[in-house]
Amino acid sequence: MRRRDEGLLSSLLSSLREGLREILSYGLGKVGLAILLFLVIMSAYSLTALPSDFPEKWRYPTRPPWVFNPRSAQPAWVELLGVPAADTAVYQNLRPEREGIVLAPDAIYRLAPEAERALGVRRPVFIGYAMVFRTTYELDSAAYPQDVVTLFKVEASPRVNKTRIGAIVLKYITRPDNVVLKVVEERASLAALDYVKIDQGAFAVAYISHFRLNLTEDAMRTLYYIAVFGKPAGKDFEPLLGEHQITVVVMLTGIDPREIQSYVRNGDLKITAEVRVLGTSYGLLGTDNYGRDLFQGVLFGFPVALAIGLLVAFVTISLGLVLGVVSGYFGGRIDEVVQRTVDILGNVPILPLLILVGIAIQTRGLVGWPALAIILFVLIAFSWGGVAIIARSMALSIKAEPYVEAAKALGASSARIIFRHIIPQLIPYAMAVMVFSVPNAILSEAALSVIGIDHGLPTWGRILADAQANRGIAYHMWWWVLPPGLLLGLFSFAFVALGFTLETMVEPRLRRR
Amino acid sequence: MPLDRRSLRIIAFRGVTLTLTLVVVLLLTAIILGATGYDEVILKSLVSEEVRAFRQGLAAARVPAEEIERLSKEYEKQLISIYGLDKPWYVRTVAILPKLVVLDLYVSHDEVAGVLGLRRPLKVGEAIAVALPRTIIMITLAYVVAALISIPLGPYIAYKRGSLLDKGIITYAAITNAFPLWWLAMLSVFLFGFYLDVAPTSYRPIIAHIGTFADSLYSLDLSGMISALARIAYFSYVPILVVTFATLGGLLYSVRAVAIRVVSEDYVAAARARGLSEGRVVRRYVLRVIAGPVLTFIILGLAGSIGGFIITESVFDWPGMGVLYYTALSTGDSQMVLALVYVTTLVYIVARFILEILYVVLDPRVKL
Repeated sequence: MRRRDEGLLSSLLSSLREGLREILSYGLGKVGLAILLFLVIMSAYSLTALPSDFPEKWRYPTRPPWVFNPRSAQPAWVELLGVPAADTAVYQNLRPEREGIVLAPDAIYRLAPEAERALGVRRPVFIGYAMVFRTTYELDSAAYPQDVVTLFKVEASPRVNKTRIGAIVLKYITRPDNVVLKVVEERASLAALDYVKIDQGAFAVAYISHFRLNLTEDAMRTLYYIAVFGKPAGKDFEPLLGEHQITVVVMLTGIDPREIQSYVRNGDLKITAEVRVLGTSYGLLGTDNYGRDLFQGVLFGFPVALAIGLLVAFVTISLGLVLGVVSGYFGGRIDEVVQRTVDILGNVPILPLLILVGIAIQTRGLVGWPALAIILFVLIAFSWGGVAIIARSMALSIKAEPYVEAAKALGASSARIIFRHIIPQLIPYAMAVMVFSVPNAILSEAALSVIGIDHGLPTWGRILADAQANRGIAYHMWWWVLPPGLLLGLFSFAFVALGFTLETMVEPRLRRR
Repeated sequence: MPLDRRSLRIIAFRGVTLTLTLVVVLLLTAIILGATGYDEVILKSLVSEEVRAFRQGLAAARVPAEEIERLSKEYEKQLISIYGLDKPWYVRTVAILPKLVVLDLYVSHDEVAGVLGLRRPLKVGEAIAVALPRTIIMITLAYVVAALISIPLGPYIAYKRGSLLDKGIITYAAITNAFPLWWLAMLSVFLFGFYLDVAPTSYRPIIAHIGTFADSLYSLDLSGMISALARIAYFSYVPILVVTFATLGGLLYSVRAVAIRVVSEDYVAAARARGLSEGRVVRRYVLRVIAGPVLTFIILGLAGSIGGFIITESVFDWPGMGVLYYTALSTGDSQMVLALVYVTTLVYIVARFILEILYVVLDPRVKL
């Protein structure tokens, strides 16, 4: 038997201990606890792995880093299940394999023989300083990569005037069938050198004439990614399996090449390249139709779900507990006011109300955490009633116990009686209810997101909402619809399972004899 | 049992509370619509849109520039007074409350009427009358099926507590409780519609089939009725299955929870000891006792289902009450929103009131 006069904290701890013992004796409880542990570990990992500006990045899908990812790519591991998928390969920190001054065309051919062999090239007349970056991509599955992106990092000391130096970027792909395609020729100032994608028209005409295709240039442009990594076979194309060598030439012009050479030798100018072959598979959970990494998005959802769920449940239950006990203990007018409020709140249709609040928030232009906070506040304001009713009835019976009378006779204040004698006894009940109501908040948030209330944070609900908004595409992409929903379900299942188990603790009649 | 004065007072008191709830809900909705500036923003954009169209019309008719300016200013003023933008929001909302009670309001957006496959002018009452049957054939029907399964099965599993069946059903309830219904709906669209291709991917066309059914019913065309019914069945079997699957777990668990307290009573043990068959014990000694509370949550659930499941209906693109609700909310059709809040809350509150009367009539122990 529990001692009557123990404090709030110790009774919280002892009911936690008792709850844990009870949970572990049930299979369902064990499952719930295991899932909870998984959620906590993933949340901790998420907090350390994701940058703090991640929500900001996620909100703008058409900006970097997402534009450097393949779109609608399936998870990388499905290849193991026999689904053809071109890998996404990232070659970071590439340094020039060869570099040197180019004064005559031959000089560049010595540095990069591909330049001469590419389909349909005219003899280029470049004068400048060339850097040649190379890497090899292995296509081992019957699928076409979507694009080849090259990102440049230019480190220049203040002595280098970047706007005065021009940069010509040339990109060649040497295929297993020994055909070389020039896929990029772009000019920019060194200051504006950031990234290049495949130029859809760079090789169209030469390609058509080389393979004697009956295609217009425009049709060729739309087929560019198939053309680069495939060869014509009858009326169709087929993927060209094997090693594709990617060569990127950066030609620095505009000032005396010897000056550039001295900058490079003195370490005043350093260019590194990153080549990204965008395949049809990416990462653990693939990407959405903008190229956003779904694993990162889903990962961000873990701590948010836990925080929202626990916070809202805790505040709701505490509010209901205190108001219910106060209502039962004092009775009279206070009781009347609280009970009538509960009656009214209990009949308010909460979802339409939340939608209304959500839309009002949107028309006011609120985004991010403040918007979410308002939604959660409304949720709390309308859901404490159920706990209050039961807390009140329990308080009524405890109030009549002799030891409460005794405490009163000894001159204990109402606050002391409520917080030391009544509420500690309601803690086990409150914990069970709390565990049950944790998923409520996160499911409501997800529901609101799905019908288009956008608070701008990447939660599981938000990801599903994006899928629903792009339903025509998303419904062909199981990796977009399944994982966030499964996690939502897993999350609430953990708490429902714990709740079912805790219920038998609070309600002794449910215990098996 | 005749009602004494005390019981009457209790019932009257409940009635007052519930009416008060209705009023509070309506006021709250009106305040959120008005005080946050939500309907104002939307109405203003509506006015500027209409003025723009008006200007274009005048320009096309080669009206002189200063004349266009004057006429569109006038037109704008007129619109502002029609939409009540010249008055504060509380006047605007309060003015429509008396009309709301008798549903004498009009749908103010084409999109809302479009959900129903209708055109404006359209009274809100008519809009609800069209949307309601669609929600009933999906959600309410599914709920009834789930209730019919769980009423006999719930007490039975309570009776078999701890058995494999019982554990299985608890797990099933926990799982369906955990996964959001609308996500199951998304999955079913993905699975049955896109992957297996045995069901539609959008359920909006059911409007036409319900229309055909109504027409052939009217002209007593039996074969037309049957073929329309077959189309309706094709469009509705997946949503009905999904909603039934999702609500069944919760209902079973609730019935079981109520029955468990009764099953462990002494008189049930006595009945079993007398050698009565299990079915007989469940029917006569358990079901009768739990009928009250079970009826309570089933009736309240049915009343709640009338409002439609906003998100699930949106996912299926099912043109019922839920989608009507959502379209009205998102287009800022405040009159339609208020009418929907009013009707759904009214249905719920009437159901509550009927239950309150039943409690007092059936159980003399019920006190205020």
